Amino acid sequence: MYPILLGINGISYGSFTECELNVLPRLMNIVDRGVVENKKPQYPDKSWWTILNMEPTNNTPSDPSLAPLVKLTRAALINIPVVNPTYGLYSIKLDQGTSYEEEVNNVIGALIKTAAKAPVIAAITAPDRFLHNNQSIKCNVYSVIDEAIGSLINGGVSAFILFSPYGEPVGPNEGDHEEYGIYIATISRPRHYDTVKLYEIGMLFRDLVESTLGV
Amino acid sequence: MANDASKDPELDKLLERKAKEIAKGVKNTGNVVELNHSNFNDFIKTHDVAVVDFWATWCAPCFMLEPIIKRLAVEMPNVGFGRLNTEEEPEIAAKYYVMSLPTVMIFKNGDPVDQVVGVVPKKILQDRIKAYLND
Repeated sequence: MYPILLGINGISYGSFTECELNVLPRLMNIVDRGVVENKKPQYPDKSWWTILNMEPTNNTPSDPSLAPLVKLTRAALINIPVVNPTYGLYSIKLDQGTSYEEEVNNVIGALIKTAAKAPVIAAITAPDRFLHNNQSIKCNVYSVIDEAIGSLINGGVSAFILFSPYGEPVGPNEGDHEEYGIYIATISRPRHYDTVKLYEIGMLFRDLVESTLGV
Repeated sequence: MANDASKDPELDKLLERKAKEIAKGVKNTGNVVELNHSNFNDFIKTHDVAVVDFWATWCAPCFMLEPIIKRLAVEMPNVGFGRLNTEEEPEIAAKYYVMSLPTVMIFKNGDPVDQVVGVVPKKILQDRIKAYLND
Protein backbone atom coordinates (compact mmCIF):
# COMPACT_ATOMS: atom_id res chain seq x y z
CA MET A 1 0.00 0.00 0.00
CA TYR A 2 1.13 3.55 -0.76
CA PRO A 3 1.32 6.27 1.92
CA ILE A 4 -1.81 8.22 2.79
CA LEU A 5 -2.50 11.67 4.18
CA LEU A 6 -5.93 11.77 5.79
CA GLY A 7 -7.26 15.00 7.27
CA ILE A 8 -10.37 14.94 9.44
CA ASN A 9 -11.65 18.49 9.73
CA GLY A 10 -12.62 19.51 13.25
CA ILE A 11 -11.64 16.76 15.69
CA SER A 12 -9.79 17.16 19.01
CA TYR A 13 -7.91 14.86 21.37
CA GLY A 14 -10.21 15.80 24.25
CA SER A 15 -13.10 13.97 22.66
CA PHE A 16 -11.06 10.77 22.37
CA THR A 17 -11.49 10.62 26.15
CA GLU A 18 -15.02 12.01 26.32
CA CYS A 19 -16.29 9.59 23.68
CA GLU A 20 -14.24 6.64 24.99
CA LEU A 21 -12.77 5.80 21.61
CA ASN A 22 -10.98 2.56 20.99
CA VAL A 23 -8.72 2.75 17.93
CA LEU A 24 -7.36 6.31 17.84
CA PRO A 25 -6.05 6.42 21.45
CA ARG A 26 -4.31 3.07 20.94
CA LEU A 27 -2.86 4.23 17.64
CA MET A 28 -1.37 7.35 19.18
CA ASN A 29 0.50 5.18 21.67
CA ILE A 30 2.05 3.12 18.89
CA VAL A 31 3.16 5.74 16.34
CA ASP A 32 4.32 9.37 16.43
CA ARG A 33 1.90 11.93 17.77
CA GLY A 34 1.64 15.68 18.02
CA VAL A 35 -0.69 18.64 18.21
CA VAL A 36 -1.63 20.70 15.15
CA GLU A 37 -1.77 24.42 15.88
CA ASN A 38 -4.02 26.66 13.80
CA LYS A 39 -5.20 29.98 15.18
CA LYS A 40 -8.67 31.43 14.57
CA PRO A 41 -10.34 31.96 12.22
CA GLN A 42 -9.86 28.53 10.64
CA TYR A 43 -11.46 27.79 7.29
CA PRO A 44 -11.28 24.42 5.52
CA ASP A 45 -10.23 25.75 2.10
CA LYS A 46 -7.47 28.04 3.38
CA SER A 47 -6.17 25.38 5.78
CA TRP A 48 -6.02 22.75 3.03
CA TRP A 49 -4.39 25.10 0.52
CA THR A 50 -1.62 25.73 3.07
CA ILE A 51 -1.06 21.97 3.31
CA LEU A 52 -1.14 21.42 -0.46
CA ASN A 53 1.18 24.38 -1.09
CA MET A 54 3.50 23.41 1.82
CA GLU A 55 3.68 27.04 2.92
CA PRO A 56 1.41 29.60 4.61
CA THR A 57 -0.39 31.10 1.68
CA ASN A 58 -3.33 33.01 0.33
CA ASN A 59 -2.58 31.57 -3.08
CA THR A 60 -5.54 29.46 -4.17
CA PRO A 61 -4.90 28.03 -7.62
CA SER A 62 -8.06 26.90 -9.38
CA ASP A 63 -6.85 23.33 -9.87
CA PRO A 64 -5.74 21.46 -6.71
CA SER A 65 -3.95 18.86 -8.85
CA LEU A 66 -1.42 21.57 -9.74
CA ALA A 67 -0.51 22.24 -6.08
CA PRO A 68 3.17 21.54 -5.25
CA LEU A 69 2.45 18.67 -2.83
CA VAL A 70 0.24 16.89 -5.36
CA LYS A 71 2.76 17.32 -8.16
CA LEU A 72 5.69 16.14 -6.01
CA THR A 73 3.96 13.07 -4.58
CA ARG A 74 1.71 12.29 -7.57
CA ALA A 75 -0.99 11.63 -5.01
CA ALA A 76 -4.60 10.91 -5.86
CA LEU A 77 -7.05 13.32 -4.24
CA ILE A 78 -10.26 12.31 -2.46
CA ASN A 79 -12.89 14.70 -1.08
CA ILE A 80 -10.54 17.67 -0.57
CA PRO A 81 -12.49 20.70 0.78
CA VAL A 82 -10.65 23.42 -1.14
CA VAL A 83 -13.76 23.95 -3.24
CA ASN A 84 -17.45 23.25 -2.74
CA PRO A 85 -18.36 20.53 -3.73
CA THR A 86 -15.13 18.94 -2.53
CA TYR A 87 -12.43 17.96 -5.03
CA GLY A 88 -11.32 14.48 -6.03
CA LEU A 89 -12.30 10.89 -6.76
CA TYR A 90 -15.08 11.17 -4.20
CA SER A 91 -16.84 14.49 -3.81
CA ILE A 92 -19.69 15.89 -1.72
CA LYS A 93 -21.35 19.23 -1.11
CA LEU A 94 -20.20 20.94 2.08
CA ASP A 95 -23.62 20.94 3.67
CA GLN A 96 -25.57 18.32 5.62
CA GLY A 97 -26.91 16.57 2.53
CA THR A 98 -24.51 13.64 2.93
CA SER A 99 -24.70 11.80 6.25
CA TYR A 100 -21.54 11.39 8.28
CA GLU A 101 -21.70 7.60 8.00
CA GLU A 102 -21.96 7.79 4.22
CA GLU A 103 -19.08 10.23 3.83
CA VAL A 104 -16.75 8.37 6.21
CA ASN A 105 -17.45 4.96 4.67
CA ASN A 106 -17.10 6.20 1.10
CA VAL A 107 -13.85 8.08 1.78
CA ILE A 108 -12.30 5.10 3.58
CA GLY A 109 -13.47 2.72 0.85
CA ALA A 110 -12.00 4.93 -1.89
CA LEU A 111 -8.83 5.37 0.14
CA ILE A 112 -8.15 1.65 0.55
CA LYS A 113 -8.87 1.03 -3.13
CA THR A 114 -6.74 3.92 -4.40
CA ALA A 115 -3.80 3.48 -2.00
CA ALA A 116 -3.11 0.13 -3.65
CA LYS A 117 -2.03 2.06 -6.76
CA ALA A 118 -0.75 5.47 -5.62
CA PRO A 119 -0.19 7.80 -2.65
CA VAL A 120 -3.47 9.37 -1.52
CA ILE A 121 -4.47 12.68 0.04
CA ALA A 122 -8.00 12.54 1.45
CA ALA A 123 -10.32 14.44 3.76
CA ILE A 124 -13.32 13.75 5.96
CA THR A 125 -15.47 16.81 6.56
CA ALA A 126 -18.25 15.33 8.72
CA PRO A 127 -17.30 16.84 12.12
CA ASP A 128 -17.10 20.29 10.55
CA ARG A 129 -20.39 19.86 8.68
CA PHE A 130 -22.39 18.55 11.65
CA LEU A 131 -20.91 19.71 14.97
CA HIS A 132 -21.14 23.50 14.63
CA ASN A 133 -24.83 23.34 15.43
CA ASN A 134 -25.33 19.93 17.02
CA GLN A 135 -22.91 18.79 19.72
CA SER A 136 -25.33 16.07 20.85
CA ILE A 137 -24.25 13.74 18.03
CA LYS A 138 -20.54 14.34 18.64
CA CYS A 139 -19.69 10.91 20.02
CA ASN A 140 -21.68 9.18 17.26
CA VAL A 141 -19.57 10.99 14.65
CA TYR A 142 -16.34 10.21 16.52
CA SER A 143 -17.29 6.53 16.87
CA VAL A 144 -17.92 6.16 13.13
CA ILE A 145 -14.55 7.79 12.39
CA ASP A 146 -12.74 5.67 15.00
CA GLU A 147 -14.14 2.47 13.57
CA ALA A 148 -13.28 3.57 10.02
CA ILE A 149 -9.67 4.27 11.00
CA GLY A 150 -9.55 0.74 12.40
CA SER A 151 -10.67 -0.70 9.08
CA LEU A 152 -8.14 1.50 7.26
CA ILE A 153 -5.28 0.09 9.33
CA ASN A 154 -6.68 -3.44 8.99
CA GLY A 155 -6.93 -2.78 5.24
CA GLY A 156 -3.14 -2.75 5.04
CA VAL A 157 -2.27 0.95 5.21
CA SER A 158 1.02 1.13 7.08
CA ALA A 159 2.48 4.54 6.11
CA PHE A 160 0.15 7.34 7.07
CA ILE A 161 -0.44 10.77 8.52
CA LEU A 162 -3.80 11.28 10.24
CA PHE A 163 -4.47 14.82 11.31
CA SER A 164 -7.07 17.49 11.85
CA PRO A 165 -6.23 20.94 10.48
CA TYR A 166 -7.98 22.49 13.49
CA GLY A 167 -9.88 21.31 16.53
CA GLU A 168 -13.56 20.83 17.16
CA PRO A 169 -16.16 23.38 16.04
CA VAL A 170 -16.93 25.99 18.68
CA GLY A 171 -20.33 27.60 18.17
CA PRO A 172 -22.24 28.13 14.93
CA ASN A 173 -19.72 30.19 12.93
CA GLU A 174 -17.86 28.38 10.16
CA GLY A 175 -14.41 29.72 11.11
CA ASP A 176 -14.65 29.03 14.84
CA HIS A 177 -12.86 25.93 16.11
CA GLU A 178 -10.58 24.92 18.93
CA GLU A 179 -7.06 25.97 17.97
CA TYR A 180 -5.45 22.56 18.48
CA GLY A 181 -5.99 19.56 16.25
CA ILE A 182 -4.56 16.05 16.16
CA TYR A 183 -1.48 14.58 14.43
CA ILE A 184 -0.89 10.80 14.46
CA ALA A 185 1.64 9.50 11.96
CA THR A 186 4.17 6.87 11.04
CA ILE A 187 6.73 9.55 10.21
CA SER A 188 8.64 11.18 13.05
CA ARG A 189 8.83 14.93 13.34
CA PRO A 190 12.12 16.76 13.80
CA ARG A 191 10.87 19.05 16.58
CA HIS A 192 8.90 16.84 18.93
CA TYR A 193 8.51 19.54 21.59
CA ASP A 194 6.68 21.90 19.29
CA THR A 195 3.22 22.04 17.77
CA VAL A 196 2.74 20.95 14.15
CA LYS A 197 2.07 23.77 11.67
CA LEU A 198 -0.18 23.21 8.66
CA TYR A 199 2.54 23.77 6.05
CA GLU A 200 4.69 21.18 7.87
CA ILE A 201 2.02 18.52 7.36
CA GLY A 202 2.46 18.86 3.58
CA MET A 203 6.23 18.69 3.93
CA LEU A 204 6.01 15.66 6.22
CA PHE A 205 3.79 13.83 3.73
CA ARG A 206 6.23 14.63 0.93
CA ASP A 207 9.02 13.16 3.11
CA LEU A 208 6.87 10.12 3.95
CA VAL A 209 6.24 9.42 0.26
CA GLU A 210 9.92 9.92 -0.58
CA SER A 211 11.11 7.62 2.21
CA THR A 212 8.51 4.94 1.50
CA LEU A 213 8.92 4.87 -2.27
CA GLY A 214 12.58 5.78 -2.32
CA VAL A 215 12.07 8.61 -4.80
CA MET B 1 3.55 51.84 56.98
CA ALA B 2 1.81 49.43 54.63
CA ASN B 3 5.14 47.94 53.60
CA ASP B 4 6.19 47.43 57.23
CA ALA B 5 2.91 45.72 57.98
CA SER B 6 3.26 43.29 55.07
CA LYS B 7 6.65 42.16 56.47
CA ASP B 8 5.03 41.19 59.77
CA PRO B 9 5.02 37.35 59.87
CA GLU B 10 2.13 37.28 62.35
CA LEU B 11 0.04 39.46 60.05
CA ASP B 12 0.98 37.28 57.05
CA LYS B 13 -0.24 34.17 58.90
CA LEU B 14 -3.45 35.93 59.87
CA LEU B 15 -4.07 37.01 56.27
CA GLU B 16 -3.33 33.53 54.99
CA ARG B 17 -5.76 31.99 57.48
CA LYS B 18 -8.42 34.51 56.54
CA ALA B 19 -7.88 33.79 52.81
CA LYS B 20 -8.33 30.05 53.49
CA GLU B 21 -11.54 30.71 55.37
CA ILE B 22 -12.84 32.76 52.46
CA ALA B 23 -11.78 30.08 49.97
CA LYS B 24 -13.56 27.41 52.03
CA GLY B 25 -16.72 29.45 52.00
CA VAL B 26 -16.68 29.90 48.27
CA LYS B 27 -17.53 26.62 46.57
CA ASN B 28 -15.65 25.83 43.40
CA THR B 29 -18.23 26.07 40.64
CA GLY B 30 -16.49 23.61 38.38
CA ASN B 31 -14.07 25.89 36.68
CA VAL B 32 -10.41 25.08 36.20
CA VAL B 33 -8.28 28.11 37.03
CA GLU B 34 -5.59 29.16 34.55
CA LEU B 35 -2.46 29.48 36.67
CA ASN B 36 0.66 31.57 36.24
CA HIS B 37 3.46 33.00 38.39
CA SER B 38 1.20 35.71 39.80
CA ASN B 39 -1.57 33.44 41.13
CA PHE B 40 0.05 30.01 41.57
CA ASN B 41 1.20 30.34 45.19
CA ASP B 42 -2.05 31.89 46.33
CA PHE B 43 -3.98 29.15 44.57
CA ILE B 44 -2.20 26.24 46.22
CA LYS B 45 -2.17 27.92 49.64
CA THR B 46 -5.78 29.02 49.74
CA HIS B 47 -7.19 25.56 49.03
CA ASP B 48 -6.85 22.76 51.57
CA VAL B 49 -6.45 20.45 48.61
CA ALA B 50 -5.46 21.83 45.23
CA VAL B 51 -4.91 19.87 42.03
CA VAL B 52 -2.69 21.32 39.31
CA ASP B 53 -2.56 19.96 35.77
CA PHE B 54 0.86 20.75 34.24
CA TRP B 55 0.49 20.78 30.45
CA ALA B 56 1.89 22.15 27.19
CA THR B 57 0.44 22.93 23.77
CA TRP B 58 2.61 20.30 22.01
CA CYS B 59 1.51 17.53 24.39
CA ALA B 60 -1.24 15.42 22.83
CA PRO B 61 -2.08 13.40 25.99
CA CYS B 62 -2.49 16.70 27.87
CA PHE B 63 -5.48 17.47 25.66
CA MET B 64 -6.90 14.00 26.38
CA LEU B 65 -6.63 14.65 30.11
CA GLU B 66 -8.34 18.05 29.96
CA PRO B 67 -11.97 16.78 29.94
CA ILE B 68 -11.21 14.51 32.91
CA ILE B 69 -9.88 17.45 34.94
CA LYS B 70 -12.91 19.57 33.96
CA ARG B 71 -15.26 16.77 34.99
CA LEU B 72 -13.53 16.31 38.35
CA ALA B 73 -13.71 20.06 38.97
CA VAL B 74 -17.49 19.77 38.71
CA GLU B 75 -17.73 16.62 40.82
CA MET B 76 -15.30 17.72 43.57
CA PRO B 77 -16.34 21.27 44.48
CA ASN B 78 -14.23 21.37 47.66
CA VAL B 79 -11.02 20.87 45.72
CA GLY B 80 -9.30 23.64 43.77
CA PHE B 81 -8.47 22.67 40.20
CA GLY B 82 -5.98 24.62 38.13
CA ARG B 83 -3.82 24.15 35.04
CA LEU B 84 -0.40 25.53 34.33
CA ASN B 85 1.14 25.88 30.87
CA THR B 86 4.74 24.74 31.41
CA GLU B 87 5.96 26.51 28.27
CA GLU B 88 4.80 29.84 29.68
CA GLU B 89 5.83 29.11 33.27
CA PRO B 90 8.91 26.84 33.11
CA GLU B 91 10.24 28.07 36.47
CA ILE B 92 7.21 26.74 38.35
CA ALA B 93 7.40 23.40 36.54
CA ALA B 94 11.11 23.17 37.36
CA LYS B 95 10.50 24.07 41.02
CA TYR B 96 8.30 20.99 41.39
CA TYR B 97 10.52 18.73 39.22
CA VAL B 98 7.87 18.21 36.55
CA MET B 99 9.76 16.05 34.04
CA SER B 100 6.93 14.51 31.99
CA LEU B 101 3.62 15.81 30.70
CA PRO B 102 0.88 15.68 31.59
CA THR B 103 1.63 15.67 35.31
CA VAL B 104 -1.18 16.17 37.80
CA MET B 105 0.16 17.33 41.14
CA ILE B 106 -1.89 17.26 44.33
CA PHE B 107 -1.14 19.94 46.94
CA LYS B 108 -2.31 19.86 50.55
CA ASN B 109 -2.02 23.07 52.52
CA GLY B 110 0.30 24.42 49.85
CA ASP B 111 2.70 21.48 49.80
CA PRO B 112 2.97 18.84 47.05
CA VAL B 113 1.87 15.47 48.46
CA ASP B 114 1.27 13.30 45.40
CA GLN B 115 1.46 13.28 41.61
CA VAL B 116 0.09 11.30 38.70
CA VAL B 117 1.98 11.23 35.42
CA GLY B 118 0.19 10.58 32.12
CA VAL B 119 -3.45 10.10 31.23
CA VAL B 120 -5.28 7.88 33.70
CA PRO B 121 -8.97 7.00 34.04
CA LYS B 122 -11.05 9.51 35.99
CA LYS B 123 -11.72 7.05 38.82
CA ILE B 124 -8.02 6.55 39.52
CA LEU B 125 -7.35 10.27 39.67
CA GLN B 126 -10.42 10.86 41.80
CA ASP B 127 -9.38 8.19 44.32
CA ARG B 128 -5.89 9.68 44.58
CA ILE B 129 -7.34 13.12 45.31
CA LYS B 130 -9.92 11.77 47.77
CA ALA B 131 -7.13 10.26 49.86
CA TYR B 132 -6.11 13.79 50.85
CA LEU B 133 -9.54 15.11 51.74
CA ASN B 134 -10.30 15.29 55.46
CA ASP B 135 -14.00 14.51 55.20
